[in-house]
Amino acid sequence: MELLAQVAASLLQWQNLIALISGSLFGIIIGILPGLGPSAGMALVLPFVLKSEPVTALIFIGALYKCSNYGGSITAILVNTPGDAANAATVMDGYPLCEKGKAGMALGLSATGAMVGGTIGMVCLIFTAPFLARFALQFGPAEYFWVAVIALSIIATSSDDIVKGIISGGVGLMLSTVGLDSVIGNERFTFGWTAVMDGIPFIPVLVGLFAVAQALVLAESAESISQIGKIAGGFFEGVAVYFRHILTVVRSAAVGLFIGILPAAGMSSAGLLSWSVAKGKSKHPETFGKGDPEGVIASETATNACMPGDLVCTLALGVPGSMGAAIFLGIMIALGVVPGPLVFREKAEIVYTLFAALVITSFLLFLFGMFLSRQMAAVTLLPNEIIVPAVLVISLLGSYAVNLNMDDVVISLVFGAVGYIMQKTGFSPIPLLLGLVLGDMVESNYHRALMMSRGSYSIFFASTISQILCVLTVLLYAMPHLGPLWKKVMRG
Amino acid sequence: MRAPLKRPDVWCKMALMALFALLYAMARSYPSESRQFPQLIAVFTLVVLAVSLGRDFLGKKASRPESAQAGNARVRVADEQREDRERKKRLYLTWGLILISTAIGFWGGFLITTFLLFIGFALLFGERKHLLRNSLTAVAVTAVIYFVFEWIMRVPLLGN
Repeated sequence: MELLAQVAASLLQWQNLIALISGSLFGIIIGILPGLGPSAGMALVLPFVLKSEPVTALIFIGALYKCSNYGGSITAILVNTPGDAANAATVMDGYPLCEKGKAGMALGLSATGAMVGGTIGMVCLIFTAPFLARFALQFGPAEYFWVAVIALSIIATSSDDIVKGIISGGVGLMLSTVGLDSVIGNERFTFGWTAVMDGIPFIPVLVGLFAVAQALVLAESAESISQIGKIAGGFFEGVAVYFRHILTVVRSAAVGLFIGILPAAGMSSAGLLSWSVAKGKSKHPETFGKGDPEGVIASETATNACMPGDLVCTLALGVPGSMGAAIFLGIMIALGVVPGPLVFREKAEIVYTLFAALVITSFLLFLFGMFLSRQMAAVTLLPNEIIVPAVLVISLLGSYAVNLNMDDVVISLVFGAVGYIMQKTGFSPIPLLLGLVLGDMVESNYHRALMMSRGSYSIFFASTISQILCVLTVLLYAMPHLGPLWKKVMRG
Repeated sequence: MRAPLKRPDVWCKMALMALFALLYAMARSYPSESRQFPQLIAVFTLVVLAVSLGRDFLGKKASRPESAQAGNARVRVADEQREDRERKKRLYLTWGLILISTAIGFWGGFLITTFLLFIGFALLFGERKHLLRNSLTAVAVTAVIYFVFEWIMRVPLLGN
C-alpha cells in the first residue's frame, strides 16, 4: 500500500507527466518515420535523457519505446515499411487492408490492439514479474541457444515458402558472422571494410531491407499507395471489428505474454507466432496475408502484450528480448538502475512507477491514434513522387543519424537492393533480419554450452527445458508435412 | 510453371549457392572456434539450396496454353511487356537519382541529398502541372529536416 502511494505520488509529478506525454508523442512520430524504430529513437534522445532524473528519464524512454512500436505499425500499415522488426507481422495484413482503401480501419485495429494487448501484458506482469524472473534464471547457454533457434524456426516456417524462409534465415545467420567473432575476436568476411568490423550494423540493414526496398517498389508505379485513391473504413470501424474477435484477442495476448517472458525472444517473434497461430485456427486461412483484419489483431495484440514481458526479462535478468530492449538496458545502466533479480526490491519505486506509466501509455496511444489516424492515413493518398523521396530521405537519415557515418547509408542502399530482389523473387526479408539479430546469440551460446560440457553435444538435450524447446523446433518443421498426412490417414 | 532458368528466384538460389560455397572456403583459413559456426550455417544452407534447386529443376513442367486462348494471351503478354519496360525505366531512373544524390551527399552533406532527391523525383516523375507544388514541397521538407535534425537533434547535415 505504501509502495502504491509512492508510485502514485511519483507519477503525478509534473515533470514525469510531461515526460509521459512527450515520450508517447515523440515515440509515435519516431515510429511513423520508416526506418527510425525504437532503437534509433532512443539512441537519438540519449544526450537529453541522461541529464534527467532516473525515474523521469525511464518514463520518457519507456513511453517512447512503447509508442514507437505503435507508430511503427502505422508505417507498416500505410507504406508497407515496419518501423522495427516487431512490426513485421502487421505488414502482412495491414498493408493489403490499406491497398483496399481500409487504412482507417487498419489503424483502428492497430490502436485497439496496442491498448488492449499492452494493458493485459502490463497488468499480468506487474503481479507476476518477480516469479517469472526466478523461472527465467533456470536458463543456461543451451536453453538460450534453443530459444534463438526456435525463434528463427518460427519465422522461417511462417513464410509463404518455407524453404525460401529457411534460406533467408541462413543468409541472416551468415551475415551475423561478419566482423570480429565473439569467441576469440578473429576477423571474418570483412574484406578489409572497417565499417563492418564490429559486425553488420542492424539499423542500416533494417532501413535498407524495408524502407529503401519499399521506396524502390513504390517508385516503379506512378500511382499512390491506396490503389482505390481514397481512405475508406473509419477508425471506429476498426475498434468494433477488434472487439468482435475476442477469442483471437485472448489467444494473441497469451502468445505475447508467453514469448515476452522467454529471455531474448522478442516482440517480432511474438507477432509472427501469433499471426501464424491465428491463421492456423482461422476458418478462412487463405485470406491471411491478403488484408484479413484478424491478422492485424493477432500481431498487434501479441507484440504489445509481449513488450512488458520483454521489459521484465531486461529488468530481472539483463537479457534484452529485442534491439530496443537492449538500448533500454544500456540507458538503465547509464542512469544507475542496474538490472538483476534484486532490482524489484531495491529500486521498487522506480520500477513500478515505470510499469504504471506504461499502463497509462497504452491508453494515451489509443487517444493519439483516435485523433490523428485520419491525418496519418492521408499519407497513402500522396503521389509517389512525394512519398518515395520522403521515405528515402527519412529512412536514410535514420540510418545516418545513429553513428553520423555515410558508410551506414551505403549499407542501407546495398540492403535496399537486396530487399528489392528478395521481394521480386519471393524471399521474405524477415528471417534474414532475425538471423542477423540472433546470430551472435546462437553462436556465443553454442560455444559457451560446448565449453561447459567440454565438447559434448549432449548438453543441448540435457535439461527438460532444452528437450521441450528441441521437440517444439522439430514439430515446427514437421507440422506442415504432418498436417496433410494426418488428414489423409483420417480419410482412410 | 515457367522453365527453371527463366525464373529469377532460381538464378538467385544459384548465386547464393556460389556465395555460400565461397564463404565456406574462405572460413577454412580461420581458427577452429571462429570457423565452426559459419561453416555449419554454410553447409546447412547449401543443402537446403541444393534440395530447393533440385525441386525446381525436377518439378512438373508447365502445359502450353490452349490454342483458342492464344490470341488473347499474345495481347496480354504484349501489355505485360510494355508495363514491365515502363517499370524498369522508372527503377533505373530512381537508382540513378539515389546514387547521384548520395554521392553528392558524401561531399556536401545529407541536406543536399535531401533536396536533390525531392527535386529529382518531382522533375523525373511528377506531372508538369504540379512542378511548382512539388518544388515548393522539396524546399519546405528540406527546411523542416534541417530544423528538426540539425537544430533540435544536433545531427550535422552540411559538409562532408
